[in-house]
Amino acid sequence: MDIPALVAAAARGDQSAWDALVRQFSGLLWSIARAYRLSDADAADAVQCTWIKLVEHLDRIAEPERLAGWLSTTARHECLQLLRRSGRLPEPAEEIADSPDPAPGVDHELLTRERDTALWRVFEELPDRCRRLLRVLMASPPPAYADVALALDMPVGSIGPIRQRCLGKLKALVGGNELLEERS
Amino acid sequence: MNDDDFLDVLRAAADEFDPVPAGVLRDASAALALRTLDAELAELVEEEALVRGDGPLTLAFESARVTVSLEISDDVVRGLVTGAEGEAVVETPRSRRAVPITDGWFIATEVPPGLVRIRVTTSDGTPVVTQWVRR
Repeated sequence: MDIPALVAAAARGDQSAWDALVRQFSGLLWSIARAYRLSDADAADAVQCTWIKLVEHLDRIAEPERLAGWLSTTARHECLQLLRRSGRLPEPAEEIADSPDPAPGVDHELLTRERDTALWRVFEELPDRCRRLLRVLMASPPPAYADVALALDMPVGSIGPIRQRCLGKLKALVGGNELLEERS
Repeated sequence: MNDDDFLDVLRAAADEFDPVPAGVLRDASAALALRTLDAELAELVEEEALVRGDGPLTLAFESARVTVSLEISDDVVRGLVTGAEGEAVVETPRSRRAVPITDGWFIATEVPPGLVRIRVTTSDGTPVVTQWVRR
């Protein structure tokens, strides 16, 4: 089923259609919340509120084919509201160091793990503007630029150039490609 | 490595180090049950929030026959209702609690943080529910 059909089915109470939407877009919503540097609890709150707002609007979504955009915009509002309520606008720099510990017990061979761990650490230290954009672009499945633009309130035309600049910055920080070239 | 490949590596790292928590997916799935097919929706018509956190949040909702005004201060929700009587049900995504409406007023304490909405019943028995608001 395509997205409008899933929305219509979910509006009729079809749980499996709803779950398909949840599978499709949860990665994007979580990435948006993390892009705004929300904590585990606040990110979970922002994502859940976005889904609840969708439930409330299920039979009133004007353009269901653009649901990803609607969700991105709603998630941005939820994130900014949470940050504003906790007096955290603009985002504090000290949270940069607050990257999560690597999850244990993944079936990766050690070397790959070390590379990914190092890469993730460096990523978390990127300047905020770069980190924010890249974190949304890292969503699974990959989001459309139009939806990224809505999530971050940026012009859609600026995403490509900023992406290029930020990936370049990250590559330089990772240093000498030693970590990365082996992956390709 | 070109940019697209590099972003794929980053995406794999994000999936490993910052995946969507299982509880977030469960809550998202459960959210469909919060649909209110039976009820008339009272829409938010006015919101006055203090930008700096402290102090009450005041909100006004209207449906065809009902108005609900809320004042939310910490975990206390005070409401003034016209067009409905009996009790007000204070709903959060995980809880619901009925409190009596007396002369149009109700009060609920220890309301959990996060989203909240109010459900009331008109004198002819029509359920009315407000939009969700964050307390």
